[in-house]
Amino acid sequence: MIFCAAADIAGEPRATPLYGAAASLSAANSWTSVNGWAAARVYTSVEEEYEHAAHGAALVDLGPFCRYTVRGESAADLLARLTTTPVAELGVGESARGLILDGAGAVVDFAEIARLGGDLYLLTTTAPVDRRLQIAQRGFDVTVANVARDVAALGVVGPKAREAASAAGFDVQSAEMAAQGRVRGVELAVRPINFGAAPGLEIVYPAEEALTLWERLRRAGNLIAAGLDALDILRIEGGTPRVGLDFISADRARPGEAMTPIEIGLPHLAPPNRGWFSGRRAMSAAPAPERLLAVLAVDADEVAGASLVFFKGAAVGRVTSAAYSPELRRALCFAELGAGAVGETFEIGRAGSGPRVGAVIRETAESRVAGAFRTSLKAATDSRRPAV
Amino acid sequence: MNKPAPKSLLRPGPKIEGGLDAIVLGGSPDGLAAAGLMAKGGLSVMVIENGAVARERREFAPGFFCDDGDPIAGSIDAGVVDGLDLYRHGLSFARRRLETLVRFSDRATLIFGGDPSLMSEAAGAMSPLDAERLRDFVERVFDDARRWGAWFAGGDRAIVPGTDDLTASLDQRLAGRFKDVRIEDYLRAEALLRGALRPTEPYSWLALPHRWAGDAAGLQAGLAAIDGGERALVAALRRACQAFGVVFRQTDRVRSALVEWDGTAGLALDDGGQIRAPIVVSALSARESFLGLVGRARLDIEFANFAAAPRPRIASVRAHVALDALPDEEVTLSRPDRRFIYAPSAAETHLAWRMALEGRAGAPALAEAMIPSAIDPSLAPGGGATVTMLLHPVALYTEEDETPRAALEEAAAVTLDRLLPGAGLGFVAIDFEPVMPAVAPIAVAEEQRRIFAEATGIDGLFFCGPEAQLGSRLSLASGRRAAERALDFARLSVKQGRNTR
Repeated sequence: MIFCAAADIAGEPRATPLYGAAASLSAANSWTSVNGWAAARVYTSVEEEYEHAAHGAALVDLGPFCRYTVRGESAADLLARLTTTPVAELGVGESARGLILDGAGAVVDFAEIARLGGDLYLLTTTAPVDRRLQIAQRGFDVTVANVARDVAALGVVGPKAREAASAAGFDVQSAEMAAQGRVRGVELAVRPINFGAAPGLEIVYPAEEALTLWERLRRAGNLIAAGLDALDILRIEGGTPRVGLDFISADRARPGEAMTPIEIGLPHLAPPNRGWFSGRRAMSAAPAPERLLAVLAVDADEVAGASLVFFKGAAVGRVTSAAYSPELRRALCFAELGAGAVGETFEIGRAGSGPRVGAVIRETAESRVAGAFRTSLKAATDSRRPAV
Repeated sequence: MNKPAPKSLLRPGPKIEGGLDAIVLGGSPDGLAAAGLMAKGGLSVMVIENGAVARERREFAPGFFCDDGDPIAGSIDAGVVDGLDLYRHGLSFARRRLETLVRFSDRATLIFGGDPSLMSEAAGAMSPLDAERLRDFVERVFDDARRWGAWFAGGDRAIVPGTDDLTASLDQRLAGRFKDVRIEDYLRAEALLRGALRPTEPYSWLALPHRWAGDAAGLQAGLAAIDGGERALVAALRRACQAFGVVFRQTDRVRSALVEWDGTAGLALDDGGQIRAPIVVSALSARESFLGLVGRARLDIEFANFAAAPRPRIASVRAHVALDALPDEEVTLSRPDRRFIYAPSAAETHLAWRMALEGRAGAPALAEAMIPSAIDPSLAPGGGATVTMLLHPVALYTEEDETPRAALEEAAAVTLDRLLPGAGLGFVAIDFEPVMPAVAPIAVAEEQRRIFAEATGIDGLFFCGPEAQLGSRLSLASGRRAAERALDFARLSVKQGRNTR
């Protein structure tokens, strides 16, 4: 799960339960607004934060996500219909990710669902889906509550996240279990998450205890906090597009702007053979994609805003977001490419006759999974292959 | 020694029936038309009825009989009439090109033959100045009707920019057009009957070109009275279905539609039994078909929300009135086999709508009536008469909260007196059919039809319920379209090597 696009021009943002803790660490004092919540862009320096998150562990305030509890006999049915997540297969304590699609099979948002109890689920989305939930829950025996204001959500991101959490007394033994338990009297739920390429943990607990656990973790693991800019590098490296930046949510898109799971490069999050989720049929019947999102590695340190992607001299796409990757020592960017842009090598530059730099399509964690998914789907349905 | 088998094995359990190509749910005229055409196309079809359609004429008062349903047909789909050879199976029209007698709130009358283009001559007697204007007006409505004819019949909407204004309201087009406002009153009544829109609302104009689409196309001039009413049409359709080998089943035990993966597989019954078929055509309402039988969990959120959209609060009701004699009035007695229309004034229309929206009844409403006993004297004892009258608008109540009968009776009495002055003196009895929700405005109905027809999301499930129809008159077009889509689906299944049965 990654944050949706920041809204820099929004009014005064609200303070998340962890705002006090985050503000005390913020030397750069650089903030933005995500879903109306204050989110730190940089605490000290982007390079240091990236280094910790990519190779060690870093704290993240996950308060700007939208969270809903769905409780009731048909909670699983509702969520299986609303999202592409394999809800029916979730055991208690397990968590899975997927997408929310509209009736035309276009992507509305990311969704992560954790089963906290028998018929109690926690739905996390990057942007508010209250209206959609309200419409979808008609006729289902469920109670839906928006709990974003009531809980603090703290992320520990990085390959050493588990060690850091264990050091602070959290039970993170199992790889899948979204354990519900208590640490020093605080009721909480811990679940594994992926922030782009980096593994991590999310800890959700009552807002009143917000600062207690943050400080406990920070001191036990000697952790620093990571801001949105460092996390953005991680997510481009991981190949996860950002809602509102790399693609427009179908709920807000103008005609022709909405994109399908295949177009955003995440077909594995909405397998057509997974149950009856809303939009599945339209998605399956959709014509061949007209454009695709892909990550390009650029032969330069930065990519200018509003850059275009050229293939053999002709513009075939545009850059949607970019960041310098300290790992690769070059800039990476997300680009929306026309389906006709076959090939691996491109050029990036402004429109007109300005300088252009080379770029190649880069394989990411997400694109590897997507590729494996496409291969398995083809193997399962291609009747020309001999049955094994 | 052989043990006797346990009892439970001997008890007949739920059955799984197969061997069918298609199941039609609901024995409405559209459902039967779909069943007949599919059977003619070579499919083995079963119609499941729940006994809602009456097979016999009904005795609603001692010696007085009525036929439930609409006694007047608009333009019955020629494809169904020809395809099922309905004339050979007993369909006959008692009167074609029904002459219409319009009564106004000032008790004046206007009589004209079945064709709207003849109206201007009759109106000329009432207001010579307006004869010319009315002729031009009818021509312009006919132009609209011809241009939108293909759209009304199920094709794509062809819009000519600048000339087409779909959003126009009736009042916008009618107000001030004629010197004699009674002509406006009549046109308004003709367009608004059974519709859910007030004359001041956007899109209400479309109702008039739609009403005259058949006349404009020159297919069937005007309205016709079916011999025996809707019941006789259903009987002819049943006979045609039987001739093509359709099986009929009476049951109210259908629990849900069987949906297996992407396609329908038949119906599940209450006792756990199944009737299996790769095609299911539902002629029930959209709510019953999609939310009831398929279930929300298998529908896209937007689609389910559309199917669950609240119904209009406006409704119509059909009343059957027994009279021991027709009123002694020359204009009625000279030709009682006409269609009677009561065209209230704009103020009365407004009042009727307001009262209906507030859940009250009683104001004189739009009304259309026939005197079926004038066509078939056996419907009433000697000297008596039966009147079938459609009242609109009345308040729509839910099943739990039935429309107060006293209020309906009051509205019916007032309107009957306007339609047939003096009829109240011979009043014997009155009987109401169930209140019917008003039909969706044309623009909405067209959208509904498209969404319900295409977006069910389930292969092999087709819909020809009331929401698939444009306008309020019996037309059978939605049944024909459902059958055509089902046959295409069956052919494609055969071509792709899928097992159709």
